Amino acid sequence: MAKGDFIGEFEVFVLAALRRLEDDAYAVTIKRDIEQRARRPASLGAIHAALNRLADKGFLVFRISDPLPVRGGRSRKYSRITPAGVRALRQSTTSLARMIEGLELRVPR
Amino acid sequence: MSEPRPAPPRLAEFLVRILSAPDDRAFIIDDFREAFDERVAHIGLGAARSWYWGETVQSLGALMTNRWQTRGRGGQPRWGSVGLFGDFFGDVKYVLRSAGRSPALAIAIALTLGLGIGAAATMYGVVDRLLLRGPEHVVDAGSLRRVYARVRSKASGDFTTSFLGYASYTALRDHARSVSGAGAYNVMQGRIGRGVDGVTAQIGSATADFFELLGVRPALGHFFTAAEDSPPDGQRVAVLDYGYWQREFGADRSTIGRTLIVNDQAFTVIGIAPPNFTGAELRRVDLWIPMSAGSHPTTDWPTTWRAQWLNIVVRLKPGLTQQQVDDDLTAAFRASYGGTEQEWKVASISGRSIAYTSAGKERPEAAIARWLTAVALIVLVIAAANVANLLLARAWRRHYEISVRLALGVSRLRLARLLALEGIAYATLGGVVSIAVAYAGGETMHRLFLSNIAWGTSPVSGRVLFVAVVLTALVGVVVSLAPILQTLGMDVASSLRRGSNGATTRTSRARHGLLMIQTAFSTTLLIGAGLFVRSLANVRAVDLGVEPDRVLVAAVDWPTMAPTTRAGRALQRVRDAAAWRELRERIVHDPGVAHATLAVGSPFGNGFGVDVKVPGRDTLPAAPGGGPYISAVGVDYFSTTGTQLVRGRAFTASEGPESPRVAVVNETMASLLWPGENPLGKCIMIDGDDCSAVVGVVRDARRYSIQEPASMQYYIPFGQEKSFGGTVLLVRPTGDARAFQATLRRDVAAAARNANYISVTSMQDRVDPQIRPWRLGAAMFGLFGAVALGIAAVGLYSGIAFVTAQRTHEFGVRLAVGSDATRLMREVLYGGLRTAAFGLLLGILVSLAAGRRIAPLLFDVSAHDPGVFVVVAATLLVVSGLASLIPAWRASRTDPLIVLRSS
Repeated sequence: MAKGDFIGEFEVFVLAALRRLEDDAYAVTIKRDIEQRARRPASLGAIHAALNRLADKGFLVFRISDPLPVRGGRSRKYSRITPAGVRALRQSTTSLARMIEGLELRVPR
Repeated sequence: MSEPRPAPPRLAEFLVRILSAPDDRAFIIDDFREAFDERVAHIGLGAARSWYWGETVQSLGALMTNRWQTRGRGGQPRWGSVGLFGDFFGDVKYVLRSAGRSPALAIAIALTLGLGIGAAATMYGVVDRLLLRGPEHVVDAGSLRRVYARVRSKASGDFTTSFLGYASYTALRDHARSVSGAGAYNVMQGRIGRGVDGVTAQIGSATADFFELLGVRPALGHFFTAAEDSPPDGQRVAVLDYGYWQREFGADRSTIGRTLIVNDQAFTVIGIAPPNFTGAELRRVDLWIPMSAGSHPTTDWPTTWRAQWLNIVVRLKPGLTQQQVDDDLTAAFRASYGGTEQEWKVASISGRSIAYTSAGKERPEAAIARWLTAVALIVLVIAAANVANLLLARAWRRHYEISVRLALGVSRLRLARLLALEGIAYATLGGVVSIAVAYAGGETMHRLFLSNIAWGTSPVSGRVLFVAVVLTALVGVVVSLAPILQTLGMDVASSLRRGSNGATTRTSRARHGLLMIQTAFSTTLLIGAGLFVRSLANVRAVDLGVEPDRVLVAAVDWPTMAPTTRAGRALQRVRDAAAWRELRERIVHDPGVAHATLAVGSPFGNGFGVDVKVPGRDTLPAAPGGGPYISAVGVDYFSTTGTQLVRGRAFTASEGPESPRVAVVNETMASLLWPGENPLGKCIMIDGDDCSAVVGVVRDARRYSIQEPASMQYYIPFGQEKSFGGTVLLVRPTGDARAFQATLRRDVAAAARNANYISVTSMQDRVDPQIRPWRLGAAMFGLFGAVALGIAAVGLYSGIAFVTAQRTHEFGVRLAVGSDATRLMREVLYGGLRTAAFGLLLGILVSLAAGRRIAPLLFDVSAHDPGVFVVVAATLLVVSGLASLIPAWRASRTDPLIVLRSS
């Protein structure tokens, strides 16, 4: 993996959420997923910014949905993780796993 | 119908909207909305709304970064996609390069804008000092007022004056409740030093509280205290003007404590005023002394109500209306008034701006400065219109390049930015030039036209600089507006189809409009200039009855023994008169002197009035200018001053103190006292004496002002005066009076070696300040008018040349199909003249409308003077005809072959 393709922790969360949500991944569901699982806040602005960054790196593609079938229904900007994205996600998580392998993480009293 | 959807906070949503990248905006807003709706369902509207705010705040940073990063994504080429602020330096480089390609244009623009901005900045500098800022070192000049009395007098008519007595000052200081403080001052010419080393100086007398009232702090030492200024005889202490201290004492700190001879009395220097301190007026003062140590009109000056010689300044308490203040001052004055004059007992007291004259009116310089500011702004508008026109022409010349760029996907905003940058770059060049213009203009104004004002600082102060910068920025934006609007509205397709030599009617309409505005404003300015020039000519042509420009006035202070007895005083008078006669004898034989005479009471100098009776009349008739006023004059007086003798004779050399009493009267007096009769041989009884026989009648002569109503004047032989004194030697040189001034001073000093003090001035010096407003107006309106005409002519020329160039193709075709060349020429010429004529008409209408307001500033000229209007109209048409001639000639010389080949 090239150096420029390094992804940060938050981007790892986003990619993980994309993987899990599959066809239903857009900012609102991604936010919900991250907040429920990682138990940390994720603002919609930050998610959109991260999605754009990841798209630039080729880790995801966007798909604009047809308007929802209600009056004044909106289009959604869905994201789908690419094979490169999956590789990057795996790379980051295995690196992390290797780094913390065998570490004692309990804080001594 | 469904219920209205719960809405998120509008401001928060607005923030999200403007901060989102345009491509993502709709999705982001909808995502926020969806998450919000969910929360409304779960936690209620109120909590959801605060959630929305929290989410917005947390997203701000990320949204902005996202927006920044999404720039340049997508399919647009780089040139057009860096947004409003990207690649700034690239644009600057582009602008500089394109300016470098046509340096003549760049220089012309810089000069035009420099003149315009510089003129406006100069006038701001003048107005700032005269009207806005007030005198230096005065704290909160806005709450200071000079006190004026309005007196309704049967004898001398209603008048307003700032000259009041010390008793009025104490009354207002102690009893007026609307003021937090009061001070009094007066400034008189006096003398510092003794003998031939003595110099005239402006001596300010002030009460101790005057300085505290103004809020001024000394540069060194202290201002005098109430203990030092205690009526009736205060201590002889003095505070020096900073400039005077530097000039005369080399800024030596040990000056404090030194002794100075002021009006023949020894004063101790106790302090130095801060630099450029001029008191409550804009008038240089060399020395400040306590009011109680100065000279006074009477010995009971602290309490008398009869003498009025000082100005009172008060500081208003905050929050009062003008009416409340005036009522309070009037009440305090009337309650205290202890004099006997009924007119003064009911005088109305008011506080007015300290910038006003002693008559309670705005200074004429201020009114003219205000007008000139308007004029300078007009010049600026003309200059800006001209530059806008030039830039419009450039933008048009580049329209093909621009439309190609637009077609390639460059954003119009980006192009607009480029054009704005170009305008601002040119304006900045102009701004740099303008500072030089403001400096030179300010210096000239200060020295030539407003030399009676103590300016203090350099003409380009920080405030002037600030105004120049603001104007520069403003002009930069304004001049780029026309080309920008043109570019924004450009129809790319038709522009491309038209190729590189098509014309749009819209541009040419805008250009014609700008040309018309320029012509209109130039017309207005030239009409103003014409009116002022005529005023000045009229002022100069006024028959003053004397010729002040031909006369020098020499004043000599002979040594005195300060006699105390009546006999001693009489002896002193005889000795003084003898000394004067001897001096005249020596001067009159100088080959450079045509006439010389002695006079007590002279035009634009002193005036006297004594009791006069005429046999057969209980009272004297009243002349509009008052009188009769008396002067005692020597032989040759009328030939010296240039006052024409109309009947009888002037005084002879033998007429003096011992000779029979005779008098010469002026025409007004003769016609009022003896209408239809021969005044020669009539009797007037002067100052309780026997008959003085009228031996001659002279033309009326002005006493102190260019504009004054006729008054009764009469003359008696020098030496016959009894109750008044103050001799001067009047000299009429054979050649130019001013050129002879230094010679005369040397001669007088040589002849009067024992004199305390000598001064030689031109009588014209006393008239000049009265002419100054018109001279200022004529010069400045003339200058601005000429600049405006020049700019407009160049604008007209370039405008017509440009329109003609646009039509080259058309002309070529017309010539090719047999059109007459002179006809084409005439067509272009008429086109130019038509634009000019419309502008001229507009300008004349504006001038007619503005006429009423400028009329008070004119002298003996109607603001609608047809002569001025005709001359200006003719000038303008001739100039615009000339400006159109060259392009017209060029149009007629179009070579059809070249034109047709190129298309």
